[in-house]
Amino acid sequence: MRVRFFLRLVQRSLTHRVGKWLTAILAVAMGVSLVSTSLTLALGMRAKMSQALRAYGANILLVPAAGPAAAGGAPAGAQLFASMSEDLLVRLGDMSRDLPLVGYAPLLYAMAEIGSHRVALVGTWPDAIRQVNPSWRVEGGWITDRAELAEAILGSSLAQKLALTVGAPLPLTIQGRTRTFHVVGILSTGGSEDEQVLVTLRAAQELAGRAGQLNLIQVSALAADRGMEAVARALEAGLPGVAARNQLRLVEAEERLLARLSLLLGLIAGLVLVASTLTVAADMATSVLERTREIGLMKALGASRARVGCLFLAEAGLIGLAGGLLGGAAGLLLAQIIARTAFGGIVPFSTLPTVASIGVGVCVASLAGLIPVRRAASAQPSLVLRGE
Amino acid sequence: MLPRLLWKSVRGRKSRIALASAAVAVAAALASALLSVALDISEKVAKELRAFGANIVVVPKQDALEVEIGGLRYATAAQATYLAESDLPKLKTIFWGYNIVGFAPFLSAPVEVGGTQALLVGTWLDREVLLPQGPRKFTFSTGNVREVKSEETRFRTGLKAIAPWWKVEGRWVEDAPAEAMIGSALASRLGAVPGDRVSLRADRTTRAFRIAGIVRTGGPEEDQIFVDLAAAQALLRLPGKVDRVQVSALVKPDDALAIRGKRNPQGLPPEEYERWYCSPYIDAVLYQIEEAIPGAKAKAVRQVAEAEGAFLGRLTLTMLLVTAVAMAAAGLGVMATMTTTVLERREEIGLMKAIGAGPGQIARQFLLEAGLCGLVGGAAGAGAGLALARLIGTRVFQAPIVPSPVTVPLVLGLALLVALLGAVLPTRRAARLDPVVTLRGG
Repeated sequence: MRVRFFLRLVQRSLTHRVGKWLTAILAVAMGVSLVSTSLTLALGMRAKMSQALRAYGANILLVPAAGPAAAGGAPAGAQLFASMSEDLLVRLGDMSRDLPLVGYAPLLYAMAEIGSHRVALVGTWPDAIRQVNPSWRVEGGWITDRAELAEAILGSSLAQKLALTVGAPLPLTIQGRTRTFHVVGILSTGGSEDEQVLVTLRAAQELAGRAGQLNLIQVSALAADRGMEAVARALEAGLPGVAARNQLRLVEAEERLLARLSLLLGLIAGLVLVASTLTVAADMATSVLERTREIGLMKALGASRARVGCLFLAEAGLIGLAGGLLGGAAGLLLAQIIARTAFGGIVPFSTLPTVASIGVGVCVASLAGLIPVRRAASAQPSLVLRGE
Repeated sequence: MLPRLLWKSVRGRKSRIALASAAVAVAAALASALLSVALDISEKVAKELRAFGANIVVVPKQDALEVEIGGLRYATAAQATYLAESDLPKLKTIFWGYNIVGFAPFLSAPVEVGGTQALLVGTWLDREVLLPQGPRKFTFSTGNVREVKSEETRFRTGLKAIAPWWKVEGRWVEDAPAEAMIGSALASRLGAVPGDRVSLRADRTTRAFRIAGIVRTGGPEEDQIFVDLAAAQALLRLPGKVDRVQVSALVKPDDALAIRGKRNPQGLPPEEYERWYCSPYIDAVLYQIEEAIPGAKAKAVRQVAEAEGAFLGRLTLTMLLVTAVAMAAAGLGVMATMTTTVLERREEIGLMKAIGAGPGQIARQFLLEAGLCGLVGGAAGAGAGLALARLIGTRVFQAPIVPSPVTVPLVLGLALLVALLGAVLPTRRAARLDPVVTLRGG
């Protein structure tokens, strides 16, 4: 009977004060959505940022374990580096499913002649090398696929010095074997690629007479969950005779930067949490203060302090729950929109922001609702009713 | 009359006014802290991103083909051209000289060491450079003359500054003329450890160096030998020459003007050219370096420059979006609080009307109160927000966030606006109601 009466009281309050309930719920939802947005971003952005930083290029180089044999001034066509077998690529392909790899590209270097000039020739997988080095700038087209044998990409300084443009024929000679490629694009990177000729791995292997050989594999890996050192060691363990070199330049800078940005987002989430808690508390307190007279009336009619407290607590809790659910969902959505706009792609769903949103909603709303109730409930009904 | 009413109302309802002001203050603090961080983050992170390596390479202009594979260059001495070491301080005298945060010159050539060939690299390890003094004037065809003052007289730079990721087992070179650092792969081939002596031979000159440390980078440096620039110049008989300079510069991501200026800066209209020249775009910095150093060609390391621009753009966008969401939510929160505050006083409004107050009078009093809350809360909050931003800056980036001059006025204005907006609607509604109804509490 008492429970039913209690429920009716709550239900009455709901139906008679719909506007005020809605305002309170919205106010809670507003604060909570901010908490949920910033927490979701703080937890999920690390992976997104790590991915964006992969634009810096390969962060692991796979080389033959013996290390490249330094060969300054080696005769044209001679083997510059120690080689590895192409079979490694198959094994790497199998391993890449278990490792956080963005991409990997095999490279074969050879010294070639164009007329009387000596140039560095690089054979690679055209699609993979772009994936590993997304910030390379290309004028014209790109080599169509890995099986292509006649298309070449020319480094920008080399193109300028040889006065060659897109579409020009490019005869390359290695140890008396000549093959004529045609230039499909001009590449500018600001690095040594500007002085090189890029062809497919197969074309380079055939021209250099080094079928099935490689010098180097560029690997671009995400450092998000495990350290880069662990990825490098896993690669070495799976690929016998290969040394995995972490590019310290990228690895260290990336780890430091990500740590800082995670700290930044975490601090912001903390700040937002505190601010939202205060705002929600202030909102709830204001809306309960407004009902001081109602409390006085209830007490004058004989309601006990506990009963008044229970009623208001139930109301505040319901408001907090509704606001928390609504705000939590809105915050998740907002976080997705922000991540998609800025970094392209979604942030993973995690339970912490949802739990935190509902928790903040219910706890803060109830606590904030209780304080003025306690004050009003302990006051003399006659004074409260007179409006003092 | 009005001031007295206001005063009475504020004194009589201290706790509620304080609550409303506090709500405004919390929102304003959040807004001003996030805004400060969002507006300054690009610069802070740009400095961090400089750890990803030099973004500009300066080389001599030359027509000869360069053959470079894995850090080894194959160019014959007859073809090679060089830059003068004495020109290097000029890098800090360009318009954006202040944004050049570090540079290191290199001179390299293959040498014979322990029966094999390796690349010898001479560089500045850690050097203090005296900078040319006096303000620098830049005259533009628009007739404007811009003056750049330089406060720095000395500039400390070198490999340590632009390549902080190097791991050295042993120690860095201290006794410049007689010590060398050796790449880890080369060291293991030679079986060399720190303290050993190696003799390097180039053409007919031979010199002995003591190995101070072993370098690990994961890159081609692991097959090279590093000595002080002067020692390399003496060994290679190229006094005062360098063949490459790596420069680390703070630049701004490309925008529409940068892209228009990229192809042909002189083709821009004079005003745009001036604006382009005076913005730290990577191409403007390259252009200024080529102007300052005779016979130099400056190239952007695309990988670093573009990745940096793209990352900064994304990060700034994220922060701005978060700030916008926070400001919107905080603003709506303040509006809701103000609305509740006014709604709660409907009886008072009814009473005022009953004793003959006009809607204008009522509105004036309530709006003044709301405005007061907005101003007081906004000012306190904006101040607190700046302090918070400072704290975040020192915690995260070890440097305080520099508040933008727009932050405080913007936050204050928004706080005032939002507080007033929140009060205006319920006041108008209450003022329109029949006093009899409101007084009855209906």
